[in-house]
This record gives sequence, C-alpha cells and structure tokens, in this order.
Amino acid sequence: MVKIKSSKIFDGERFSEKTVLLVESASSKAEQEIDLNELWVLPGLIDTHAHLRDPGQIWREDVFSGTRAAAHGGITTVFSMPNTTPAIDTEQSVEYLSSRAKRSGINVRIVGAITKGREGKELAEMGRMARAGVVGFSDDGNFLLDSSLARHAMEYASELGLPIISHCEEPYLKGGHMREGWYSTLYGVDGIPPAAESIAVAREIELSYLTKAHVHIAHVSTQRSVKLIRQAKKDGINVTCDVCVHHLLFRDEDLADYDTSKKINPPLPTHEDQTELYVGLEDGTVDAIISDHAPYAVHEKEVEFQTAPFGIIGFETLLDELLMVSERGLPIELLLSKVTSAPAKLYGIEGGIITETPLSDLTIFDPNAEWLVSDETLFSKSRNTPFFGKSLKGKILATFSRGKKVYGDPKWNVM
Amino acid sequence: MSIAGKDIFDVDVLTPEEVILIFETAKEFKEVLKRPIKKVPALRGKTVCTLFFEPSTRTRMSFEVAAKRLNADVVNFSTSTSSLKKGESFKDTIKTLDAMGIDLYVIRHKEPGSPMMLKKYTDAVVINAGDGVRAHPTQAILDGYTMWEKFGTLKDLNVTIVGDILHSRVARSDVKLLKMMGANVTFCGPKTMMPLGVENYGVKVSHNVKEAVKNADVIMGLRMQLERQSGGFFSTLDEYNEFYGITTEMMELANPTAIFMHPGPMNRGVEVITKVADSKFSKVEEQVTNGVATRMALLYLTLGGNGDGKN
Repeated sequence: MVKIKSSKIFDGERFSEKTVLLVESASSKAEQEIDLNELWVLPGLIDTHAHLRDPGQIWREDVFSGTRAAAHGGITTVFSMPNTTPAIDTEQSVEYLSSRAKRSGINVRIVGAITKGREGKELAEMGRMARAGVVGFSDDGNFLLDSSLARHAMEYASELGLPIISHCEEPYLKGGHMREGWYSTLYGVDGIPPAAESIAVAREIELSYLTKAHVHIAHVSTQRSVKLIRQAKKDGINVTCDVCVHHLLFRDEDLADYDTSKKINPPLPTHEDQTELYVGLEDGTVDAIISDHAPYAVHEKEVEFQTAPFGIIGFETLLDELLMVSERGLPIELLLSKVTSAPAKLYGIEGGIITETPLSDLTIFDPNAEWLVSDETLFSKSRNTPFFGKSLKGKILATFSRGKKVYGDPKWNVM
Repeated sequence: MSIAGKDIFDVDVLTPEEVILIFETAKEFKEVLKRPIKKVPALRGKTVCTLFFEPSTRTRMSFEVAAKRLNADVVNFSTSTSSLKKGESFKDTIKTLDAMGIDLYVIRHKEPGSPMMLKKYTDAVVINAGDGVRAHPTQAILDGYTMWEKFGTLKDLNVTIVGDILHSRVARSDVKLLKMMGANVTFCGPKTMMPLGVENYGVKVSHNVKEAVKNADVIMGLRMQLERQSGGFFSTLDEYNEFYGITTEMMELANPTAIFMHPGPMNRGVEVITKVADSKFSKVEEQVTNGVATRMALLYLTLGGNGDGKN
C-alpha cells in the first residue's frame, strides 16, 4: 500500500493539503509514503456520456480500447451510451456488455435504450435492463418524438428510480451540419437552428413536470436551453443537464477550415450561446461536464464536411480542455467538481470524492507538463480530435481504479 | 503584380488591384474571342482538369472553352464517369488524378469547403467553380467584369440581387466582390430564403422588390430552384412571381442606364419575365461570353502569365 501526500489534493470540491492512503504498490508490499509535492491528486474522473462503440462498431472503438483511452484521460468511470449495433436495449445485451466491461480496467456503467432499437416506436424492456444494472435510459442520438411514448418512458423510469437521459433535437428542424447563424451563412454550411434543441428541451421539462420523473438533458448547447432549464429548476421540476467540454472551447466560427474533427452534434455554439453555457455552469444550472467521446475511424472523417459523421473523441483530452476552460474565467475547482463529485451525486453512484477508504479511484495529474496528441500517445482507436498533432498542457501521470494502476505515464517512475 | 500559383477558393483571396488585373486581362482575351482564329498559345503544355462532382454543363463548358482557347490540354472528370460511385474516397480520387500530372484543377462540388480539401492533396492550382452554397468566385468575377465593362467602375454602383439568397453561392461571392470594389448591394427576397446575419456583409435587406430596385444600376435575378416549394420556402410559383418576379416595371423604377443580369439558367415566368430577359436591358448572353474571357484570364494568370507575350 502506498500513502500519497500532496499539497494539491482535490477532494471533489476544493484543493487542500492532505495525505491519503490509497493504492497498491507495484514494487513492494511494504507500506510507503510518497510526497508528490504540487502534483494534483484527483478522484478518478467520471464521464457520464461516452460512446464505446461496442458491440458492432469496433473498428471505431471497443470496450477495451475505450477504457484504456479513458484511463489515459484520468477517467475511472464512464457511462456507455446505447447507440451501438445492435442497440443496448435488452437485459441480455446489457449483460453481454457488462461482462466485457468487467475485463476492462475501469468502471463502465451502462445506459440502456428507451425504445427497441432506439427507433422511437416501442418501449424497450426497461425493468429487466434496470435489473441488469443500467444507470439510466436514453435513445441518445435520436429524440423520442412521440410525446406519449416519452411520457410513459418517464413514468417507467421513475418507478425504477432511474433517469431518462434525453438527446434533445426536434427532427423536423435539424438536418444541417453546423449551428445556424452568421457563420453558417458565411461558410455556406446548412444550419441547424437553436430552436431544434430548445423546443425538445421544453417538451422534456413539461413531461418531467407531468410525470415527476428525473429527466437529464444531455449536452445542452444553446442559450435558450440553459434559460429554460434554469427556470424549470426554479420551479422545482426534476430536470438536470450537462454540457460537453468541446462546446465550452470551440465555436461555430472555428469551422472556417471545414475540419471534420470539429463536426459535432449538437453543433458548436455561437458566441452568445457559449457565453450562457459558462453562466449556467457558474450558477449551477448545468450539473455536469461530459466528454461525449464519439470515435470515428480516420477514413470516416476524411471526407467532405457535410458528408462526415458528427462526433469528437474526448476522453484523453478532457482534463486539459478543462484547464483551457478555466483560463477563460471559470474556477478550476468548479470545473473539476463537474467531472467528479457532481456527476456522482447526480446519478447516485460511488466515487467522485477523496475518502479515507483505501483502494479507491485516483488520478495523478501534472498541470504543467506538456504532451503531444499523436498516434503514439492516443489509446483510442480513433483520431477525430481537433487536438491531433498539437501539444497540450497538462499530463496524466497515473490513474488508479479501485487502487489498481490502470494507466501510468511511461516516463514517470515515482509510483 | 502577379496571382501566379494562387488558389481561387473565393473572391476574398484577391485584392481589389488583382481583381482589376483580371478584368484588364479578360478585356484583352475578349478581343481574341472575336477573331476568326480564337486561339492563343499561352498555356501550351499545361493540363487543366475539370472536376465536376455535381452536374453542370454551362460552367464546365465555359472553363473547357477558356482553357482550349489558351491551348491547354483539358481533361474532364465528372461523377457520372468516375469511380466515386464505386466507393472510392475523394482523397483517393484526387491522389490518382494528381499522379497523372495536372497543373490546375477546376472543381465543382455540392460540399462547401471542398476546394480547400482538394488543396490538401495536391500542389496544383485550384479554382473553385462552385462549392455548395458557399462560393462561386468565377461567377462573381464574370458578373463584376460585366458591370465594369458597362459602367467603367464598380465603385458606388447600386446592385440589387433578387431571389433565393439562402441557397445561392452566386449571391455570396458576388456580395464579397462587389463590397470589396466599393459597390452598394441590396439583397431582396422572401424572409424564408434570406440567410441569418447577411447584414454583416454590409448589405441592405429588403422584402419589397419595388423599393429594392429604386436607383439600381444593376438588377440581378437568381434562379429559383423549383423544389424549394416542397420545403415551404415559398407557396406557389405564381405568388412568388407576383411578389418577387422582375418585370419591365422594375426596370423602369431603376436608373435609366440600368442592366438586368442573371447567372442562368433562367426560369422564365418565375424570377423574371421573358420581356425583361430578352430586352435591351438584359446582359445575360454577354455574361456567358464574359464568363469565357474572365476564365481565360484566371487560368492564364494563375498558371503564371504576367501580361506579356500572351499573343
């Protein structure tokens, strides 16, 4: 067992100087104490929205490559979204995925589909999936347009004590490839109006009010959505939401180079929309930050902008991106809480805080070291990140899952 | 001044001086087009490839004629005869063509940004012949040339562009060129087909044609794609024609020397009535001739011509 000491231990809320006991020693059985000085010690990060592409799309990612990538990003808990092939929409498929996930190094939590095949027509066996341990239900990638079915899904989910994680996108208004606005006009790219999202958010709020179900709005990206959710929370409605880290860093105007690795859904926000996401984080309207890790193979993204699929990988750059966001004015403690204690509380799961319990999830991070995002350093099977080929500040030195080292920087030999 | 080696992704890669250089070069080439033997050896030994990922007979032929008048070898690639249907990627297609030794590509593609993507895989000069609704710089140059030829300058000209601005790459490139050269531009069309933020181009926006054409020196119609009706962009062609069609009355409201322009092909009876299309105001056929002359100028100048010895 190794006891770690650092002057920068983040307990889930704030930094302090502490000694924590913790992890298995690679070298010896004897108890030792290591002083990490000013290196950051964080609870293992919790990323509540990711695509592991397993089963059925394993040329993009699978449970093993995905969780190795997560560990490389300091993440020890990931939520796997069900838009796989086939969709995770039965107890059997949940069990299949969790048996594979058990062989990976970190904690994979499974989100089950709301409807069979995520087709929006018939409810999936939510009760049985709950029995198999899902953390929530989502037709992620599709909005469940049928409001009656959506209502019943919420009623079912609340009875099971689980949230509906809603992908809010009104399908008649979508159909574009970037956020509609001056830059979509200038770049000649078909626009997605912001109302496509906020109309759907408003529907979910009203249904949550009706059913009292917990509805979690995924990857909120517009000003109007944040304002609607803020008001709903004020009204005591059981609605929560998260933002994707990429939406805090990039904007519609950044698509001038038609780089398909910046093509994401929901699309990159306008300046005004992004500003409101920051306000929402600060005032607590936004509950969590996600990576929305969405791998696509190089050949799938190496096509024309409007032909390319939507998605950016995010596990391995999440913490560095949060550092960049903090440079734009949000306190780093707030941002770190949104990937640790806040999502743990939101979904009622373990982790996200530093406790006296030995063998917990921990991440050791050097905020000043730099690394190059490259074929040599990435663990994901995919390369669809705007940071590819760039040097980033902030390096994960080691990640421990239940006390076991699941990632270690090859040049860092301290533990 | 030289634009040799410059990729023409849109008009904003050019300075006003370079635009005038292109106009002046085009003027000389237009003389060539009037000769009994319409050919000069300026680009002998150069290979121009037209890459058409979207069908377009007019623009492709205009480039082909322009290149042939300059004695370049021209090869054509279009999707109907290409391997793209067999699942070959854009990247592989370009790498294959590039290995054959192309000096200049002319690309038309439904995707915005595709000329820049093409440039990632080639060292040849790239000329954008229309990428989605983003840009159509050679149309803007021929439009600007047509106005320059008629009025002697673009400065302070009042240009009113009427129709479906939202889906128009012509309007997007025209406005950039015209504003750069000091013209005043008005966009006129239904709100459904007016893209967001156009005021950032520095244009006036109008939904009333009679207001918009007052004091205009140029009235330009845009092609209305008939399938827009099903998207709810307008109700009926008849109503559209009544509210936004360009009629003789509009020409009379404009300045006495005003001209009518249209990038073609025209929907007679929709965005313009035949009486205007075939009138003395109309520069539509002149635009086609000027298209060849300005494309000759662009091919010549980007492939290294400096204004000397082209005859």
